[in-house]
Amino acid sequence: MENKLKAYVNNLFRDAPATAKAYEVKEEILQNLKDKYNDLVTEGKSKEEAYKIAVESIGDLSELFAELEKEITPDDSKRQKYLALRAVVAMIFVLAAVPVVMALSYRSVLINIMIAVILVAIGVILAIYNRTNKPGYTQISTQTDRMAEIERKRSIRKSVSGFLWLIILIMYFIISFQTHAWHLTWLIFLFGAAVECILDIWLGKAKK
Amino acid sequence: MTIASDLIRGNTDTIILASLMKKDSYGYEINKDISAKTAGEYEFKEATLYTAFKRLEEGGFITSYWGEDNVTARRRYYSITERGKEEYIKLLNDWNKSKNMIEKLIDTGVIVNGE
Repeated sequence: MENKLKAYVNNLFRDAPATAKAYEVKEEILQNLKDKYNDLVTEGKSKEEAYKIAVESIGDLSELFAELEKEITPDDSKRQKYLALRAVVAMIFVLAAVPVVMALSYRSVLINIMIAVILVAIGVILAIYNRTNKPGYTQISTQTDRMAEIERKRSIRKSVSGFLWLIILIMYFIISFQTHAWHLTWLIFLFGAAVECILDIWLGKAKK
Repeated sequence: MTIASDLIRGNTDTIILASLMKKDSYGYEINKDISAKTAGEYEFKEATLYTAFKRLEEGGFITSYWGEDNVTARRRYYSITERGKEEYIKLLNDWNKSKNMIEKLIDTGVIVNGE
């Protein structure tokens, strides 16, 4: 019967905003209903009767949902974005294993290793970028906090850049020694500069 | 349950603050106390209770924390703040004033001793 209560409350909260607060309220209400149900059964009510009374005591949740909806702050959407990006990063790392396996079993070793290196690099850059957007539990309110935040982002931006150029340098030598196409491979540095420009726009925007 | 439930609902905040004046408590316990005090005639709906908790918490009148006393049932306890106590006194005064006013306005002496 407790599972039945849980299913009932879950169903009611289908329309609730997907926030941490809404989840907590749901858990609290469910706990109250379980307590109530158990008390009623102890008092001698039948299970069906107790379930019916418990369910009826919930009332109309629309006002509560409206209150919870109001609370969707930028922090909440930020949190969702953070979690989504983290999933993407995990996926990229998993995907990076594919070319490595391919490299071990096929002839096109070089190209596969390159793909793996690029994937890992993208994954690491995204992961570092995502850290800057990790939602905090305290709100940034004072001017000094905001300055510290900007400073923090700037230092992370620097470490991303350093990592990017290291990867590019490694790739430059791997590709050049394998293909001997030294007259073309220097173009990779142009590519790196372009990536850095894109990063600047991206992180610059995030800075507001 | 229907009797005067609108009137009571208008005083939800006062009732919740009043029950937190004595000690910290959680949703079900507050409701049980109310039910006991009214001899089972009144009880908040969960929706009403939690909308009020949220409003009061936003206003800084109450705070909440997860209680650690029970392993199987994690309960969120609510606690009244200094501001909440002031608000309670204010609401109580408001109520006493309006109670007297309403009594004067609607009592015509038709009903004496419930007859």
